[in-house]
Amino acid sequence: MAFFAASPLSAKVFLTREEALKLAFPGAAVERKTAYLTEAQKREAQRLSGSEAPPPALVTSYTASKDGRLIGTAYFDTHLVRTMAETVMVVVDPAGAIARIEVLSFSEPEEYLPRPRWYQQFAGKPLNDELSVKRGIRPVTGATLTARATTDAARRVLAIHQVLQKAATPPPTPTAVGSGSR
Amino acid sequence: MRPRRHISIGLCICGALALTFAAPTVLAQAPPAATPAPAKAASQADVRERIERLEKLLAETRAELAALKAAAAVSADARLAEIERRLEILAREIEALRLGEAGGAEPARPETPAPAATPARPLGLGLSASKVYGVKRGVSLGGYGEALYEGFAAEDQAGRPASEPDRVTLLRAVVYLGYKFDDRFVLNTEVEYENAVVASDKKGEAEVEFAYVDYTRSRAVNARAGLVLIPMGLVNELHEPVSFLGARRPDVEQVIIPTTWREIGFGLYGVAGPLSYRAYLVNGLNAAGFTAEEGIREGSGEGSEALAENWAFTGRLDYVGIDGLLVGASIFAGDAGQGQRTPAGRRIGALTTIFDIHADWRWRGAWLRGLYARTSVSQAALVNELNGFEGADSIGSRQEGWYLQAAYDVLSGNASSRLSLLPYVRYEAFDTQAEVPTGYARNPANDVRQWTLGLAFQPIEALTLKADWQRRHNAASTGVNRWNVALGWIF
Repeated sequence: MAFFAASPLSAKVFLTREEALKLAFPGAAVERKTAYLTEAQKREAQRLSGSEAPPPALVTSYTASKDGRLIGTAYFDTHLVRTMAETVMVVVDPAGAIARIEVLSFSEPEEYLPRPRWYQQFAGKPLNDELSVKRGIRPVTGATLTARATTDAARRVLAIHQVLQKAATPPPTPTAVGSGSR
Repeated sequence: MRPRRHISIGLCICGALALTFAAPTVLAQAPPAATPAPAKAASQADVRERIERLEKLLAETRAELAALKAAAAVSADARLAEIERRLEILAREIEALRLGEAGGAEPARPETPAPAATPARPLGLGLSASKVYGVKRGVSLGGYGEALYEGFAAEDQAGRPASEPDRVTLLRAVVYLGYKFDDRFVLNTEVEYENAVVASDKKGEAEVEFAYVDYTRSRAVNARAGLVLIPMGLVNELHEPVSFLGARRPDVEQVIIPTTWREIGFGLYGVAGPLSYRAYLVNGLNAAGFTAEEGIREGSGEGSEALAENWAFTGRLDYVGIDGLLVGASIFAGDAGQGQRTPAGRRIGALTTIFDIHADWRWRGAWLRGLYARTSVSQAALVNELNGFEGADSIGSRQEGWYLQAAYDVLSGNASSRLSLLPYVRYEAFDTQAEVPTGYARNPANDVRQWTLGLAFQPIEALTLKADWQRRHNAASTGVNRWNVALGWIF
């Protein structure tokens, strides 16, 4: 999602998109949605995530529901780790916190890929200052850059999710006059 | 097409309106009473007929207009739908490009190991040094460098004048050149220039620091052969300037563990559960290079026509089961006699054993490091005879040192900032003559205690500027304090 130039052409692929979605939402109905962020939304997402560059305008999300109830939204984010790319799936729970992160592909030496347990610490983390390798996310000995890149991706996804949620929820309309249909 | 259609619809509307308004006008303009009766009747019939005709025409025009309107609407819907379809195709294409191979419909190769058992630091290499493992095939290029300023105090610890001049040097300029033959075989090399110029009147050196071939088989077992880094301590393998604190490397890891220490050999490396290991057989040290001040440092063969009469085992085991923590131990053991004899003709074994225990822990903005290393040299008296050392020039039969280091990134409060600013403090104690053989003496100048207080600034991960002050005391009271400033980079 972040760096288009980071297209993982020679990545080690662990999961495809479909496999990742099945893993995250077994037995759920998954709906693919495309959103086009406005300039204001991009700025807002950048502000929320605290990243140096604005997010991409084109955002694809996968909303999963089971028995008519929303269970989560998945986003895919491809970014540079050092000079090579990593693609992760970030699943956001209905409350807007991270549900899980899965690595789809990784082009850097595998040495710099943290162990799966490291990714589990993201579960339940909302978008705040604790979501940082300098704070609430434990770093990885010898894989600092991956830890940072993944955490940045998580922040970016949560920020975009917030912006999209805000756009989807109409502002509370007063029961008043003037709200007639056009 | 579109403007023309608008015009034609407009014309129809105008025509219909014109007819609608024209009819009464025609009626109004009909002459009233002056017309004869039969003629009047005929005229009225004519008018009715005309009205009917006009009404019919109006209805037809209205129908036609409605049909035209409907057609236009349908056409706009169709065009919108087509644009949406094309946008969706573009969105999917862009998503596929972003996801790369992971976006494919094909399942990930079943033989691809799941990240579940991914190794943690099995390679034992710095960031740039491991670049070749990330390429698909062919050549990879990386490197690092360090420029260093050293400013010495005018007096030693006892207040006597000290004469060490201040210096600047391009301490290291290094090129990593790697070649990935295929998914299994990887060549990795490090070529280093020390102190910029290699010439008879300069102190510079050109060295191959490692050059080995890896056979990568699985996470648990991989093979390596060539000129390899000895897998000891915290700095020897990870010696890129962004990987350690201090403008200079810790002295314990220069004197007791002689970084950058490499020998020719072969062995295995990998990760099993939470344990990472390396185990090599390499050419042994050469006791002829051992000294009182620098310990075993100059005994290293460095892959340069090294003696291979004796071989040594070296290995390390690290626990990496907790993120942010590395705890482990390493060893090097082997004879250093290399078939040499004392002037009296006695063959020297000189079993030399170095071991260390180490820990590195990072949590939030904090970074703690500690290491203890100890060397023992058997038949140290024979080595002294070999080297012609007497009295306090004896090599240490036991050499040891340790350090503790603490740092905190004061910018860690800013979640999104890439900047790092780390004040650090390190305490070191080491002695290359912790014990000497009977009949020899220790030189108290080799018994060193050193504090390092410094600040490391990293604008980005690949660049570091480190400045520190070192308070160096030794048991002979001849220690000289110093300032160091280093600029380091990796790529």
